[in-house]
Amino acid sequence: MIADPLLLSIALFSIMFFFLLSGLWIGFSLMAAAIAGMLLADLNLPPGFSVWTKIGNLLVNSMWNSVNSWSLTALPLFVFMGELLHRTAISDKLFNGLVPWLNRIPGRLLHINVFACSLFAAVSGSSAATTATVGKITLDELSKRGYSESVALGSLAGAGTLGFMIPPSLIMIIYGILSDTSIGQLFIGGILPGLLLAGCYSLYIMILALMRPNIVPPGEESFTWSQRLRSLADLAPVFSLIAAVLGGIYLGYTTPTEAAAIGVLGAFVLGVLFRTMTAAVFKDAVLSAVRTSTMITFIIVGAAFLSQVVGFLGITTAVSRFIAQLNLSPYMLIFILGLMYLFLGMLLDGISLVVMTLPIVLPMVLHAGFSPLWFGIFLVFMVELSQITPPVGFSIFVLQSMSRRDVGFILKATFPFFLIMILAVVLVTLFPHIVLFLPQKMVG
Amino acid sequence: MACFENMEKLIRFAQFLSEKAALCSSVAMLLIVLLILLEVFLRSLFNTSTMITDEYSAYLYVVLVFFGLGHTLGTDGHIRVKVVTSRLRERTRHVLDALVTATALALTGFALAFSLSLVKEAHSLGMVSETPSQTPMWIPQSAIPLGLIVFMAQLVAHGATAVSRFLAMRSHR
Repeated sequence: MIADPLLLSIALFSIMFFFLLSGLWIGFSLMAAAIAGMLLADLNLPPGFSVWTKIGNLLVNSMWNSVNSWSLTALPLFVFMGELLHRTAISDKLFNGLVPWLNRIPGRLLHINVFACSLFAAVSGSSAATTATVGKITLDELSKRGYSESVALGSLAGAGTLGFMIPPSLIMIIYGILSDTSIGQLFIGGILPGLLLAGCYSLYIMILALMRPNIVPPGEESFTWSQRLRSLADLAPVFSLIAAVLGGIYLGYTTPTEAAAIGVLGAFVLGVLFRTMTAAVFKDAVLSAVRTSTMITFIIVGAAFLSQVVGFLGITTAVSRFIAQLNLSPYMLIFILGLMYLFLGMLLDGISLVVMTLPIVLPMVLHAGFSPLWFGIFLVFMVELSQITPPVGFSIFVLQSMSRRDVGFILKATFPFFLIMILAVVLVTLFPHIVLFLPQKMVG
Repeated sequence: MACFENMEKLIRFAQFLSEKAALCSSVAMLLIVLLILLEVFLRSLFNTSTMITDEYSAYLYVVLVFFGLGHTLGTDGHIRVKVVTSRLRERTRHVLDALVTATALALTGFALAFSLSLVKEAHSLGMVSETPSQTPMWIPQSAIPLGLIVFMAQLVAHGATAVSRFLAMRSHR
């Protein structure tokens, strides 16, 4: 029996990693660690009251309370919307609509991933979906035209992660619920950091293209302004969907969950207009959305239970007090947390990363004087980094299956974009107004 | 051989159950969308409300998730960390997979027992939601044990597959 909460927390996390690495599904690993923590702790339960009853009650209550949530209902809906869009011709439209606008910028079509991902991220809640949907068209087209494969892959990996930063965002929904922060504000707060990151990517591509002209094929396609204006028709569906989903949230007219349902309808209508929607495609999209939502929610259930237990055992307060004793400066705290997230992000997917660490990390960060809104965006950056760090990086898996290149090649191509993302994190930490400016301007 | 045949039957039965449950999940997903769209439509055109949209969407989400657990496992949709296990020998991996599945099965069984008492208690105490609809809580809460039963069936099938692969490899030698 362990009485010291700090020792208990070390035991609990060791047990959790043991289960995780043994290949037990993530949701179950979190539950098993929580149960082990309860059994190891020195609980002074009243006589005749079994510890197993306490555990069982905590478990089913977290199952019911974490899923029976109107705010979290936005999650399956945004997943569903993404699955529908992935099966429409939206990737082709984005490509055709953007090409005429990029031929004058140094690096030309190498910017297509950055622009297409930024736009698609504004209708998609996840990075994997953004990477897969945009890459479906761009990777082939770029290599066909003779652009550098390495820059094409790297920019797709980097820009694809914008799916989590530019709203809607599954990570922000989960963070908002766990930290009791407004999901609408988080969404709006992600816009400027997302654009900043996209801007940095494009700047890097421009500099690279000027320094190494051979990454861009010779010969220039030229476009007239009338062609450019006509290409806007291809982009119109995406822009109207963005307006329908984000406009309502920004103006305070719809909640994120309602915006998600409107997005599902919009994605369905686009599928019908593009003539890509059939009964089979629709059924496939629904089932796929059910699988992804169930997978994510099961992890959330496990984490909700674990966080109940961690609070019940007094681990949260003990760790917070311990960190407070160290008298770290706020920047030092964020720096150490950043390193910890980079390390954990190598092993874990983004969602597990957030839900597992938040119960302990959030109180510390708030105590150090950071706003929960700002920290939410910081965490999204950490999740984005985890998407492209080996050995477990979802974007890397997606790229591997699309490009049929080995991991080493993909990692090398991705590395500069990884560094740019770190630079963006530093900028957002030094200038928190990049995050806080737009939410302060929100209506309602 | 009879043992293998029974295993086949069991796996097929679990698959059948999960697929039917996943169908319920899909219907729940569509109902959520329709319910919310109806709410937005009523609010913007007639300035009125269904009064139940947020409450029932959340119930339907519970159905969606718990009925989807089995199907998601059956299609390898639940994620796990493979950094270590993928480096093991295939035989060891099957043994470990069976052990891990047994752990998951025990956890699910434990959750099932307590979710049944949650539902029983809500029913016997006549608990209703604190909303205008005053929905008896045991009805939406039943989705948890029902879904967990399907999940357990699929977990048994998963474990059986791991064991039979291990046995097949041994007899192969």
